[in-house]
Amino acid sequence: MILEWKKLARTGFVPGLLCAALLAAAFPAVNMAVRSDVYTALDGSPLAILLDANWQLMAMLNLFASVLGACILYHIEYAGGAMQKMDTLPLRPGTLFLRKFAVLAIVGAASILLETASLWGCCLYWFGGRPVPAALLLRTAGMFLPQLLPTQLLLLALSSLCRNLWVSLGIGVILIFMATILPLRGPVLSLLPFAAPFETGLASLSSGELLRSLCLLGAQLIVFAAAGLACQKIRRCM
Amino acid sequence: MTISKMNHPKANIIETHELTKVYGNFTAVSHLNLHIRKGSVYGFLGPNGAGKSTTMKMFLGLTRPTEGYFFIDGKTYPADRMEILRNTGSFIESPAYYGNLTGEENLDIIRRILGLPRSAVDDALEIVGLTQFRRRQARKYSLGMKQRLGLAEALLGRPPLLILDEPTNGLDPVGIHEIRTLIKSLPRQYDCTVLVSSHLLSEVELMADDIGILNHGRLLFEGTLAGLRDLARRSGYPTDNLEETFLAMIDEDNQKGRLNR
Ligand SMILES: Nc1ncnc2c1ncn2[C@@H]1O[C@H](COP(=O)(O)OP(=O)(O)O)[C@@H](O)[C@H]1O
Ligand SMILES: [Mg+2]
Repeated sequence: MILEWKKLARTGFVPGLLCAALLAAAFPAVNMAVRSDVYTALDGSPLAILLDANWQLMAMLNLFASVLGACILYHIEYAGGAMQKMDTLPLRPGTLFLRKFAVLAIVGAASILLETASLWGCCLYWFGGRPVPAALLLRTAGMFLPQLLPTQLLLLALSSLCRNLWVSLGIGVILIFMATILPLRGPVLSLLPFAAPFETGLASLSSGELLRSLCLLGAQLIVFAAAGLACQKIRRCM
Repeated sequence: MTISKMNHPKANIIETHELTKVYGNFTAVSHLNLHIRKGSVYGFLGPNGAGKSTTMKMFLGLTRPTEGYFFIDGKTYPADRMEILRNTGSFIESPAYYGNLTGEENLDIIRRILGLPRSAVDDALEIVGLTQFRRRQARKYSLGMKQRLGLAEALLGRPPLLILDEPTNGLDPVGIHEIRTLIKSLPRQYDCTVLVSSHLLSEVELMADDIGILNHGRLLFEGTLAGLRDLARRSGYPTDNLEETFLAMIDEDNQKGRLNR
């Protein structure tokens, strides 16, 4: 895995994705600073108010960052023909893919952590009188990651098949917009890739429903991982 | 077709049997029977599009044979893929590198995958004469330097088998001379076998112990240089210049091909 990080030197991968995460984290703070009286006047859980007001844009930024990250991870392999070299080394075809996914997932987790910290800060600063249970906050953050992972896996499989950076970038962006335009509602449709990262209500579900959602996301992860690994075998012999 | 029998079939590191690759309805490699002796430099000769790269890609598991089979040191795909690749250094068609990394970092990535000691990188840089430029990003390398980096990647860890596809492409005359001398010296330096392809007989003549001549995917000749001279004499090809012999052989084969079609 260290190898995959080393390969990203000087690509702008880490600074670029860090910027996206910082931007997403700054958004609720800026939004509150500008319109605090509107939001503090609302009834209900401060966390729910903040998520309703900001998460759509934050999730969108996370998705864009994932698209960009997945594209860069394979662009470096194809740009100088290094992919063929990797294919002639004693390395299992799927290993590279899974390591790259781990890199993308870690960046995703770090971004979500940063964004949750920002949301928590906003709760404390502007809703000081209405405490937010730490457990709810952690559960929310803890769910955002599994919501994002299947989409990241799918994006990575896509970019592993596209020699041209712009093709995978274009398809990724189109898929994000499709997900925001199509009315994907309900317990199953809303958890599909590209739609799931926008969902904010999972943490407040009953534990039975929560478990079902997690199983659904887990199943997606397994199916897409299997598909991604199969893609690597096909790609090598193309 | 003339194939002189090799003396020690047991000592072959690569043997192919009726190896064939078909792309759609185009036969790139046709019923190839190669014998590459352990410890030799084998020159794989043929005009552009003859099927040299395709054959080498099959040896590296990059593409699957349509028909026939081959053994590399008694091993075969897919069962022994990892074992074969661990012992094979390769350079196929053009240098492969991460442009954002320096020459040294590029080699270090491969070194870690192969599980070699750190000194292997310095060793490889030294052999190809890239030590001076090891801290420069590979995308800023000249074509010749990229070519050398590709060779260093193949030589990393001094594998027992080297598969080099037109390694002198894009080098200047001095570079070509250096690389040729290097390739020629490798089997003696550390006991390896080199399979090197080229479209110039004059080049292969200077490096190789054995040669195989390929045209339109078919093997026209396999044997030693002396054997080729002998054949030229007997078949009435020009003998004073082997390049002429090569061209005459290819030309005759092309004529035959046209008649058959
Ligand atoms: N992936 C492919 N699909 C279709 N045809 C191919 C493919 N790769 C190579 N060929 C064809 O096979 C022939 C042999 O190519 P190659 O092995 O690269 O020749 P050489 O290396 O001897 O110049 C060429 O005519 C080439 O166009
Ligand atoms: Mg070629």
